[in-house]
Amino acid sequence: MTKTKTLLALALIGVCATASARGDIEMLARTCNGCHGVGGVSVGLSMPSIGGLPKEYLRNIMKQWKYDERSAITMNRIVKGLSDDEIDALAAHFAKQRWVPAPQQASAALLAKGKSAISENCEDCHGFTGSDPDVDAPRINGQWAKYMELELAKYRDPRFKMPHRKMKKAAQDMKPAEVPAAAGYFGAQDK
Amino acid sequence: MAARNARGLFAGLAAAALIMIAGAAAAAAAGAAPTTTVPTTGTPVSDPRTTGAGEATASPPPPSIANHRCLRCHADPLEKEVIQPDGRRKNIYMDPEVFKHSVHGKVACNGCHSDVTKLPHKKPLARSIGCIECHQQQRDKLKDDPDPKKRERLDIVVQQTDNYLHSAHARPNPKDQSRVNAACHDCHDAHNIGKPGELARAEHRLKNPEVCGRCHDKQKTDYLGSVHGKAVVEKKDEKSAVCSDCHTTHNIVSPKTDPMQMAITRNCGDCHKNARKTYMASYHGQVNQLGYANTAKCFDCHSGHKMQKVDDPTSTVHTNNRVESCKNCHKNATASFLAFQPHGDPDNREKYPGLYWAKRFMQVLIFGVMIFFWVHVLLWLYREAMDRIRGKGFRENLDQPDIVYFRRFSPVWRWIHALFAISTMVLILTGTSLLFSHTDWAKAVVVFLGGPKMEGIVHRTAAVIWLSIFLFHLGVVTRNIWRARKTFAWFGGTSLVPGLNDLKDLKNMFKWFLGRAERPEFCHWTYWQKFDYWAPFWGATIIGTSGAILFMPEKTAAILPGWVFNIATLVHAEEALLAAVFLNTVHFFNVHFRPERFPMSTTIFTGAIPIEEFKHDHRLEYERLVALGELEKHLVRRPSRRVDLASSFLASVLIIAGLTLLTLVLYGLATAN
Repeated sequence: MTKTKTLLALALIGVCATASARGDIEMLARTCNGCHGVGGVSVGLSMPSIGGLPKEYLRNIMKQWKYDERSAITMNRIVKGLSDDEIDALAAHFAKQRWVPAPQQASAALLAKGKSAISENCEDCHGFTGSDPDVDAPRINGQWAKYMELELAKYRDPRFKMPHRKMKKAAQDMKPAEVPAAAGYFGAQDK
Repeated sequence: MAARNARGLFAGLAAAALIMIAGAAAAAAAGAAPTTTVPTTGTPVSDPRTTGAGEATASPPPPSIANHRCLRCHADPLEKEVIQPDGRRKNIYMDPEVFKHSVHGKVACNGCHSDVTKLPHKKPLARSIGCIECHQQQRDKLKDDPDPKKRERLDIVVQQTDNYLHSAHARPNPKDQSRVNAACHDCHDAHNIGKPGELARAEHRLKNPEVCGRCHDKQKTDYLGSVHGKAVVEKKDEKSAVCSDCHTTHNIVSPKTDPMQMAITRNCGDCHKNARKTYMASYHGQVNQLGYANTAKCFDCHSGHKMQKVDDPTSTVHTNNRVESCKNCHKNATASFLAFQPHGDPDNREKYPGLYWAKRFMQVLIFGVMIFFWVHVLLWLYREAMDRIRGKGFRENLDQPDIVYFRRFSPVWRWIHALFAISTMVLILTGTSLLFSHTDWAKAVVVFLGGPKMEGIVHRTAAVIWLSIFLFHLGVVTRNIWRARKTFAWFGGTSLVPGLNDLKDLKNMFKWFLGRAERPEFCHWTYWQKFDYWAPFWGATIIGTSGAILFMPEKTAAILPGWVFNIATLVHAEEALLAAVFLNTVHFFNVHFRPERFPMSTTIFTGAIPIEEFKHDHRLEYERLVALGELEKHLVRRPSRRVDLASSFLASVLIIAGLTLLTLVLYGLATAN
C-alpha cells in the first residue's frame, strides 16, 4: 500500500514538473510576442516572423548572438539572458508553430527584377519562392520585405559579424538595386 | 573441327545479320524519339519550370543546372564539410580545378547527379549516377562515326562496364539488397578520372589497395605486408602489382571460382613473364591452361596477398617452408621435393644445366632422326615414282592375282602390333593434349574426356596396357630365342639385331634413290624395319621409365631427387613427340604410302603378304628359304575376302587416326609460343 502511494506521488510530481516546464517555455515565448507576434507571426514591417522556421536555424542564430558570433542591435542582449537550454526550448517551440506568410504587394517590375536577382543568388538555398529552403536556411516566402532588406544590408556590410559565409557571399554578390527587389520578390510570395 | 568451324561461321553470319537488323531498327527508332542526352557545361541552361508537359520525351534529360551554382557549396575550400540531417559530418568538397581537367571536365554536375533537378537538392543526395547507361549512349552516338578512334576509349569503357555487370560487385549486397556490392563511384574517384597516361591515373593506381581495402580490410592488411604492397605503399612503385592487376579491374568474381583463379594465374604472368612461361610448360600449368584450376597455381605455392620473395624466411616457397606448401596437395611430399624446379627452364643453361643439356640432347636426337628419315622418305618417293613412270618396280599382276601368300607374322605379333598401335595413339592424344594445352583442340579433347583427371586416368590406363604389351613382347622374344638357341643367328637378315650388312643396304639404297645402282635386295628384315623396331624399343624404355616416375610422384620422390621430375617431364614429352611424328610420317610412308604399297599394306593385320610382293621386297629371304627347301612351311592361302576387308578397315582407321594425330601435333608445335 505504501509502495503504491509512493509510486502515485512520484507520478504526480513527474506530471506536474512536465506541465510546469511546458508552462515555463510558453511563458518565456510570450516575451518574444512583443516583436515577433503571437505564435511567431510578426505584424511589424521590420520584424521577422519566426514561427515555423527550422529549429536548427533558430537555435544556431540565438547561440551565435549569445556568444557574440553574430552582430545584432538588440537580439544579442536579449538572448544573453537565456540559458542554452532555454534557447533550445524556445527554438523547438517556435519551430513547432505554423509558418504564416504575409504576402506583400509589389509592382510587376519589382517582381521581375527580383526574380532575376534571386535566381542567381538566393534560389539555390532558399528555393524559387523561398518556401523550399536548404537544411541550414530559413523559409522566406511572405517574410517581411523590409526586414529582409535590412538583414541583407547587414550581410553586405563587412563591419557586421555574420557567420554564414555563403549567405554573406551571395548578398555581397548582389547589386545594390537587387537587394530591395529580391526582398520585395520573396515578401510577395504566398506559397 | 571443320564442322565446328562451319557451325561457328554460320552462327557468326546469323549474329551479324541480327546485329544489322537491330542496328537498322535502332536507327529508325532514333529518328522517332530522341535519346537521353547528358548536359554539358556548354549546354544552354534551360529553366525546368518552363518545360511544358507536352514536350516531355520517354526519357527526358535532366534540366541543366549551371555548374557554378553547385560549386557555390561544393567548391568552398573553407567549408568542406557539412552536417547532414542525421548529424553526421560529410565532406562535400570537390576541387573544381581537378574536375576541370578530368575526363568528365565538360560534363554538367547534374549530368551525372541526375537526381538533382532543382536547387536546393535533397539531403543526403541520392546516388543516382548512371555511369553505365550514359557511357553506352555516348558510344552509340559515335557508332556510325567514320573515325573509329573517337569511340576507341568509349568502346573500352563500355566493355568494362559490361564486364562489371557480370562481376560479383554488380550483384545485390547480401546485407542490403537495395544496393549492389560496389558501384562505379565506390572505386572510381568520379571527379578525378584521368585520361590514359595522365598523373591522375597513376595516382588512382597507387590508391587501388586503399580503395579495395575499404571493403576488403583483411586482404588489404595482408597485402600491405607483402612484397607487392610494400613496393606500392612505401616505394610508390606504380609497376608493382595492385589488387586489380591480379583480380582484374571489372571482371571480378569470387576468387574461389575456377575462371577467376585461372585469370589471376594468367595475370601474375603479365609481370612475371618468364615465370608464367615456365609454369605453363609444367604439368601444373598445362592443366591450368586447359581451363581447369585443380593443379597448383601461382598463389597456391607463393600465397596470394601475403606473398614474399623466395629468399624471405616468411615466404611460403622459402626452402624452410616449401615442403609444407607442397604438402597442401602432395600429402606425402618429402624433402626430395625441394630439388624439384617448378619453374625449371630448359633454355637457361646457367641456372638449369641438367635440363638444358637434356633438352639439347633430345633436340639433336629428334632433328637428327627426323631429318635423316624425311630425306630418306623424299628420295624413296622420288625413286619409286620415277621407276613407275618408266614401267619399272613391283606391280601387282591383275590378270593373275596372287592366291599364294607368305606368312610373315604369327597371331601373337599381329595382336601385339594392333594393341600397341591403339594404345600408342591413345597415349599420343591424351599426352599431347597436355603438351599443347594452349590449343583449342586440346581443350576440346579434355572436355570430351571429362576433364584432366579423367584424361590422366585414360593416359595411365593406356600406358599400363602399352607397357604390359612391351614387357609381354620381351617375354615372347626371350622365349623364341631360347627355343632356337642352338641355331639362332644373332646377326644377319633373319635377325632384328642391326649389323654391318644394314649399313651396306642403306648405302646401296641411297645409290638406288639417286639412280646410281639397282634396288638392293633384302632378307627377312630390312634396315628400315629394324629401325622401326628398335626406335620404339628404346623409345618405350625411355618413355616408360620417365612415365613411371611421373606416374607416382610421391613414391618416386621417396627414392629419387626432385630434379629427376624435371628431366623426366622433358624427356617424356620430347621422346613422345619424336615417336608421334616418326610413326605417323616415316613409318606410314615406309609401310603404306610409298607408291608400291599405296594406299596401305594389311600384312601386319592378316599376317600374310602376297608371294610376288614378298619376292620383290625380301628376295634374299625367299631364295634362302627355297635353297633350304623350307618355303612351303611359310606359304598360306590368300586371306578370305572378309579377313581382307576387316584388315583394310582396321588399317584405314588406324592410318586416319594416325594422320589426324599428326595434324594435331604439328598444329600444336607450330602454334607453341
